[in-house]
Amino acid sequence: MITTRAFLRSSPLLAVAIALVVIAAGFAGWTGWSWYHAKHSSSVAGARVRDKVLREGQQAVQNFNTLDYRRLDQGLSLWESSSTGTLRREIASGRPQFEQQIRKARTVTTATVLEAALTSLDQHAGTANIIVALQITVKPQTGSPSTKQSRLEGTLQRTTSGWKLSTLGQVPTGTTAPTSGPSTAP
Amino acid sequence: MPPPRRRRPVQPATRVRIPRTARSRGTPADEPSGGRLPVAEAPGDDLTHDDLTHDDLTQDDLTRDDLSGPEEAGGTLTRDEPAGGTLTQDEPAGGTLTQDGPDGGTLTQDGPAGETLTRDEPAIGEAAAEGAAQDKPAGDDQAADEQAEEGSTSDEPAAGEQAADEQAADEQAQEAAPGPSRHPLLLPACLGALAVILGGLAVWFGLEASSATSGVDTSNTALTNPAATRQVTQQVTSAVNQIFSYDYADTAKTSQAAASVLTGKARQQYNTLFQLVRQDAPQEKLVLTTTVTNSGVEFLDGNRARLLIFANQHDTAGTAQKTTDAGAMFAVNAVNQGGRWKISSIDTFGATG
Repeated sequence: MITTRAFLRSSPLLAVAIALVVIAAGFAGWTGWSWYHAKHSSSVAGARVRDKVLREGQQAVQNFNTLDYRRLDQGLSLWESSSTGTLRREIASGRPQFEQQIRKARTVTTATVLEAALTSLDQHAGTANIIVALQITVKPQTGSPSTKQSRLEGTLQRTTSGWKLSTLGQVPTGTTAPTSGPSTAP
Repeated sequence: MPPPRRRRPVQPATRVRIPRTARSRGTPADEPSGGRLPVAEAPGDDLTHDDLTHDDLTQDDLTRDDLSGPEEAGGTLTRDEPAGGTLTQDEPAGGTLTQDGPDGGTLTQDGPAGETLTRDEPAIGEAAAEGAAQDKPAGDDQAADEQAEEGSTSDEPAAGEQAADEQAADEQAQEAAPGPSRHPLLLPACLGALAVILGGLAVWFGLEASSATSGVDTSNTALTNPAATRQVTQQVTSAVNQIFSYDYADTAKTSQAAASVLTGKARQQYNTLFQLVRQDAPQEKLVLTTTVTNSGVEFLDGNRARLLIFANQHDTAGTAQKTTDAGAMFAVNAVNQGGRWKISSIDTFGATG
């Protein structure tokens, strides 16, 4: 009668193979679990949505503060595609007038997001609020560019093509009248 | 065409095979089996000669050992593995009967997963056969295997003859071969294949997991842990309101607050930021009220957090009877010390105040 031990000793290769199988199975179990966890954990799912909303919201705010009078159509189309609801309607209705203004002013506006954060997120309703510390640089055709920091607050809404801004405005300072609508107008 | 070419690189197989086949041809008993397969010939042949590939090998080995060196057992053992290789190489032949070429070579090297995989099933069958034969001496295992093999080849001679042959084979195998010749390679090969498959799965799962969490900061519980998010927001907001509010008539209140809610680098930063206010406050009879209007937790991981804060600052200079409002934006890092969130650094994005 050959015992297991004797059998293994007579075949070290088998022992090695068994060890390999055990190790591989353990590894597969571990990575399989992490995959399952990543797919099904609500906290991972929540984190994923949060990061996505923040990312898309940040990009939308930046889009809304970027405009080159030489590429107005492109810029304003980007505004429209970054917005939804009220904000989008405002842009659409005010577009001709706005285009005229910018063409006349001949400004190139660029923006850098200094920092951004979500102040609320309702995944079920598909709404979120975002605040963005933005640095805006306005370059007129003549003269030196001016840079200012801006505090922006926006509402994001989930759409079939991602999260989009439904409101965006500067955060009012004390008694100063609140500004509304797109903040780009220099 | 392919089989001979394949066999050549596999040294032991070539060495063992060629002489045996040659010898088989010379044996009359080969004829009934069609002379096709060495394995099939096995039972019909004289055992002492070339009935079993295994025996063949040991014989080979013995003769070689005689030539090369004195240690018979050692020599046999080391050759045994190649012999196992030969056996396994023969196997496809035994199983399929049509060809022993293409697959034969691959099994000896437990190489690519795919090819090994295709071997899996026959291997398991054999493993079972081996399992059944395990309580017998080593030589028996082989006999059992052969039986199984021959069962599948179906062109072997009578069973009785076979049994007798096997008995003899056992005796010889017991003497010549100390261990099971086929198991050491076959079973490990299958297990190796299993390990490769499991390893592949592990890598796949791992990649899927990392792609599922790519771009996602899972350690960040901002907003995903509402209670903790609320707590840090409240405490930091309250801290900011306190330390950036100032009444020239009650400076102690602000400094006490600053001492309790600031920690580390933030103390120095705060002193720099607030220096001017401290200087001018008494003369101007300054009352400064700071109110946080918006705050968002960007990051929250256990005892560390970062928040973006918008605040309004309303100040009244008693002497001039005028008020001004200003908006401030800054980010703070906060640490939880003993259940209390404290501000550890203040980032004003290059602006002062």
